[in-house]
Amino acid sequence: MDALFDDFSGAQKKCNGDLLSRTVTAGLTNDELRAIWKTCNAYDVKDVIKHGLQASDIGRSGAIPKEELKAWVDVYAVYWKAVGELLAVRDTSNDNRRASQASWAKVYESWKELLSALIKGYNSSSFESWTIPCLYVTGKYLREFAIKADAEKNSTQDNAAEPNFQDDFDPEAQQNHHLEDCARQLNRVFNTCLNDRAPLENSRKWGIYHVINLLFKTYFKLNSASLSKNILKALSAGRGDMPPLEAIPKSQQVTFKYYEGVLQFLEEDYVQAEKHLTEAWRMCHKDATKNKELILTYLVPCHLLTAHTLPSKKLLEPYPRLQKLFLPLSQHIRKGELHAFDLALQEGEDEFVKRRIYLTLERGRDIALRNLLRKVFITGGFEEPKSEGASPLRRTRVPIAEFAAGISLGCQETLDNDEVECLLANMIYKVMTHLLTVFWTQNLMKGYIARERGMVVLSKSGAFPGTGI
Amino acid sequence: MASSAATKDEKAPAAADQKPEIVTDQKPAAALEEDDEFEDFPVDGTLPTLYTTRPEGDASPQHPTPIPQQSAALLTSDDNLDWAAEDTEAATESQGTQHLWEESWDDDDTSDDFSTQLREELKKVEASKKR
Amino acid sequence: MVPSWPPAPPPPPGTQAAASYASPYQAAPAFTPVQVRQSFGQPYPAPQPAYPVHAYGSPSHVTQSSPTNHSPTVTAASPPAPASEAPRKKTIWPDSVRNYVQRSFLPDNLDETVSRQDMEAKLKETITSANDGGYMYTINWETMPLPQEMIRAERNRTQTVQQPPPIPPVVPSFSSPPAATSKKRKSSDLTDTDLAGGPWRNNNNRLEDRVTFTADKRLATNETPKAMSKFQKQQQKNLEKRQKRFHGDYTTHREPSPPPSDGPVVGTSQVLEKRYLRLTAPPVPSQVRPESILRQTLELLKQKWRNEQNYTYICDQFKSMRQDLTVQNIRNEFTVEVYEIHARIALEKGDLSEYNQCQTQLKALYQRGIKGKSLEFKAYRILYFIHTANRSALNDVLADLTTAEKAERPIKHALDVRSALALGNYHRFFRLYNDTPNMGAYLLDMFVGRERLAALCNVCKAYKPDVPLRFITEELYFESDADAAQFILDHNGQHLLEDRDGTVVFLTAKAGLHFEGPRATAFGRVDIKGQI
Repeated sequence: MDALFDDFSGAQKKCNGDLLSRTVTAGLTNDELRAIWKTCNAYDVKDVIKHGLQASDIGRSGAIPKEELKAWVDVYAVYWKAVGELLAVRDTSNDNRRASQASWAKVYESWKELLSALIKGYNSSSFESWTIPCLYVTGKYLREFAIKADAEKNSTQDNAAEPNFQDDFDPEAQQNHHLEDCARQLNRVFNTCLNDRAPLENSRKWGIYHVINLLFKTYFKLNSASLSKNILKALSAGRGDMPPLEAIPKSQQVTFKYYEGVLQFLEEDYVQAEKHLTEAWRMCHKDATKNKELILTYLVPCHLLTAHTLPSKKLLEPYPRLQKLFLPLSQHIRKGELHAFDLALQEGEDEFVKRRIYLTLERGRDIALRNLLRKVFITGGFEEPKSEGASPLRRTRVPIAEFAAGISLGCQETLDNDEVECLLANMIYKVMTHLLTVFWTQNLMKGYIARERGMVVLSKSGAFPGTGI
Repeated sequence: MASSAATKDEKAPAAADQKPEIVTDQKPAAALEEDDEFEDFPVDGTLPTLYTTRPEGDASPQHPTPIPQQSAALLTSDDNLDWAAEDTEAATESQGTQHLWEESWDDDDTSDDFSTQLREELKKVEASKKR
Repeated sequence: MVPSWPPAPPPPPGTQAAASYASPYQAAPAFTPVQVRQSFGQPYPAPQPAYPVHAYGSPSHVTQSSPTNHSPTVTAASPPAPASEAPRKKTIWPDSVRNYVQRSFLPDNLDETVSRQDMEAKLKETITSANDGGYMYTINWETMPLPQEMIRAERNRTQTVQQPPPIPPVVPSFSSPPAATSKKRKSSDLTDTDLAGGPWRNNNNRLEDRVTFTADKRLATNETPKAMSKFQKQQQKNLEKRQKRFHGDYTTHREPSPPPSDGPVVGTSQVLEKRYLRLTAPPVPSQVRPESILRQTLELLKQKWRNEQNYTYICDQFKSMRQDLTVQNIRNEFTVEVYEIHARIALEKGDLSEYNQCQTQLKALYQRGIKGKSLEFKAYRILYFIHTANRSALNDVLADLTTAEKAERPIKHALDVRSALALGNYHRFFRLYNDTPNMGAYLLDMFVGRERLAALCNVCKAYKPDVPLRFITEELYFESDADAAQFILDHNGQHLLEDRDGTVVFLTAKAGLHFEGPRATAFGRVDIKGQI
C-alpha cells in the first residue's frame, strides 16, 4: 500500500494521469495485489488510507483540498475491497470457486463500486480533468470483468429465477446480464466526460474517444450496434467543442474510425463506410495484422459496391483467411461466372453471415451478372459492316435466348424466359452509385427489352457503361 | 474453413477451427465473435513506439489544436499508443504502390474455359433457332 | 366419402371465414359447427357418436381435444344463458366425464402405488363435488389431473414445491390431416395437431385459392380412422355443448386450493379469465393462475377466438396469460404454445406490435431448447424483418439458422423470398408469394404492394415500347387483368393503359418515372409500434 501512496503522491505532483491510473488498476500480479490487500482489514481500511494519503508528500504539502482528499480515500477504500475480490478469484481454481464464494460476479460488483466512487469524485467537481485516465482504466477492467462474470454465470447454468414482474421475460437479460449493466456504467462515464463544462483545454472531454471506443466494443458484443449510433449522435451534437480526433493517439483514432466505419457499413451507407474504413486502414500500424485484417473484412465488400473494384491478390496476401473469404468470389465476379458465384457465396455463407457481410456480398451478384451479360454481348461479335472500311459495330440486338443460355450455364435448372427478362430488366433499371462520382450514376446495362420480338436492343454507345464497351 | 458444398450437412466446420462453441444445433446468439473485436494495439512485441512521457514539442504540427499540457498525460498509457507516420499502413503502401484494387470485370479475354463453354452454348441457341 | 363443399364466397382478406365453415362434414375442424347456428330449433344433422368415441383410434386422441367449458364462464362480458333455458337438474354424466373415468383406468396411466379402491374413492369425490358444485360441464375434464395423480400429489405435498402437473398427454400426430384450409391459414385453423413442420398442403393452386375455401384433397381421399375419430370427437363435443346450453350450468369453476409452495410466485387463482393489468408491485398469488388453470384458459380462449373473433378481448386475455406465466417463471412447451397462438392471432389481425413481442419471446424460448413450431415461426421472423426492412435483424436471423433448418420448407421459402427481393428478382418473388406456407401470406400481403411498385418501375424502364397488360397480371401475380389495371389506375396511371383491338396494353415507354414516387413512398413507410 505504501507504493500506492507514493505513486499517488508522485502523480498528483506531476499531474500525471497515467501514473495515477496505475493506482486503480487491476493489471497487477497476485503478489502485488496481495501486498495491497494485506496492509489493512475491513475495519481499519479507511483510517489506513487516510493516514497514508495525508502522510504522503503531496498530502503534507496541503496541495490537495480536504474534500478532494476525502474523495480519494473513498476511492482507494473501495479499490482495496475490489483487490480482495480479484485476489480471491485468482487464488481459487475453477473447481473450488463455488465453495469459496469467490466469483467474477463479485469482482464485477466491487469494480463497479470503484467506478461509482470515481464518478462521484468528478461530479462533486473535486477531481481534476487530468485524472481521467483513472476513469478509463477502471471502465476498461469493468468490461473485462463483466464478460468474465457472464461467462461464469452461463457456464454454471445457475438460472436461479430472479423475481420478474414484467409481462414477458427479457430474453437478453440472462445471457449478458453483467455486460449490459457494464454498458450502463460506461454510459455514465461517457456522460461524465461529455457534460463537462470546463474550458476545452481543461476538460474531461479529452477522454471521450477512449470511452466511446470502450462503449463501441461493448455494444458490438451485445449485438446492439444501433446503440452505438446514439453515442455518435450525442458526440456530433457537441462536435463543436470536442477535442479533434486527430489530437488523440493513433491507436484510439484507428479504433474509433474502424467502428464508425463498420456502423455505417451495417446501415448500408457504403460510401461513408468506405471513407472511414479507408482512414482506419491507412492510419493503422503496419504491423497490426489482426486489426488490418478486420478493417479489410469490411472494406473489401465496400469497395465492391462503391468503386466496383475487387481486392488484388497482393492486397490479401498477408491474410489467408481473407483470401479464402474473398478470392473465389472475386474471381467469379470478374469472370462473370454466375453459377460459380452462387456456389461460392453459399459455401462461405456461415462465415459471411457471422461477419455481417453476407448481405453486402450478395449484391455482388449484380456485378457478376453484368459481367456475364457483357461476355455474351462480346461473344456475339460484330455486325456485317454496312460499307467497306467502316469501323465494325458490335451486334446490339441480342436474342433473349442467348442471355438465357449464358445465365443457365453451369447450373442444373434452366430459367424460363420471363425470369431471364426480369434479370435483364434489373440490369437496365439498376443504378450503381460510384464512389468517386456520387452525383453521377450509371446503369449496369443500357438498352431495352423488345418483348414481342424476344430481343434485347442494347445501346450502340456503351451497352455496359464503365466497362469500356 | 470452407466446407464443401456437397457435404453441408453440419454447421460446425466453419467455426470448429476457431472456437469450440458453435457445434450444437442451437447456436448462440450471433453476436460478433470474440476474435472480431478490434484489438488493443500491443505494447510489447512488434509495436515499439510507446511514449512513457510525451516529449515536449511533439505536439505534432499537423494537429489543428495543440495538445494542452495537462491532457498530454492522457497520451501515455498502454491504451494511448501512438506511432509515427512512417509506421502507418499508408506509408508502406506509398513505397511500392502495387495495384491493391482491381477492376471488377475481366478484360475482353474470351479464351478462358468459361468463355469457350459460353460460345458452345450460344452456338446451340443459334442452331435451335434455325431449325 | 368425399364431401362436396359449398361454394362459399371468399371472405375479405383478413377476416374470418367462420360463416363458411358451417358444414357439418368437416373433419378435424377447428370450428364447431354448432356455434354458427342461429337457433336450436333445427334438427341437428350429426348422429350422436357411439360410445366410446375413440372406437377407431387410440384413446389418447381423446385426451387432448378442446375443452368443454365453453364460454360464459366467468366474466360479465359473456351474457348469461337465457332464463328460458333454466337448468333441468338431472345427473347425466357427460362424455367428457366418462372419458375421464376411462382414462384413469387405462393401463398406461395406472400407478402401482395407488390402489383401485383409492382411485375410485378419489374419482367419486372429484365427480360428486363437480356435480354438486354445478361445474360438471364447465370444468375441463381433459386437463383434469387423474385420481392417481391427485393422490400422488397429496402424498408428496409436504415435500414438493411444484404442483402435480396435470398435463394432458400431448399427441404429436404429425400425420393427422390438417383442417380444411384456405391458402392463407387462419390462426383459428390451428388445432393442436396442425403442425407446421409437416407438409401443409399441395400448393399448385393459383392465388384465388388462397382466399377461397377449398377442400384438401389428401383429406378427402384418405379418410383415416384417426380422422374419423377426430370427427366423431368433434361431434361429441358439439353435443356436449348443446347439452350444456340446455342445462345452462355456467358456473365458475372452483377447485380446491393448490398445494402450498415455497418456490417463486405460485399462483392460486382458479379463475379462467383475467383482465390484463400492468404490474407495478410483486404479484399476489391469489390473483395469479397456476399452469393447470392457464391451460384451461388457453383452451377457452382458443374457442372464444374461433367463435367470437373479438380481438381486443383476446389480446387482453393473452397478455394476462403471458404475465402469469412470466411471474411464475414458467417456461416450457406450454409457454411456447401460448406465445405461438397469440402470435398467430396477432398476425391474422395485422397487430404487428404484439406479434413482434411474441416472436421475440419465442426466439428466446426456442433458443433454450423448448420445443414448439419453431420452423413456422422462424420463417415468419424472416418475413417480418423483410417487411420492416430490418437488415441487421435479418443478418442475425440468418446467423441463427442451422443448415438443417434452412432446408425446411417454411424457412427455405422465407429465405428464397428474401434473396429474390434482395436481387430484385420480382419474377421469382411473385411465384413464391403464391406458394406461401402457413400464415406467411399475412406478412407477405403487407409488402406485396410496394414490391409490385418496384417491379413496375423495373418494367417501365426496361421494356419498350409497351407490354400487354396480361404480362403485368402474370408477372406481378394479380388475380385478374382487372386487378392489374386497377392497381395502375390507383396510382394515377390511367393514361398508360390503351385498348388495342380488344387487347389492353400497358405503355411502359410512356410511363417513364411515373411509379418512382409511389415506390419511394411505399418503401419509406414501414412504421411499426414497438419496433426499435
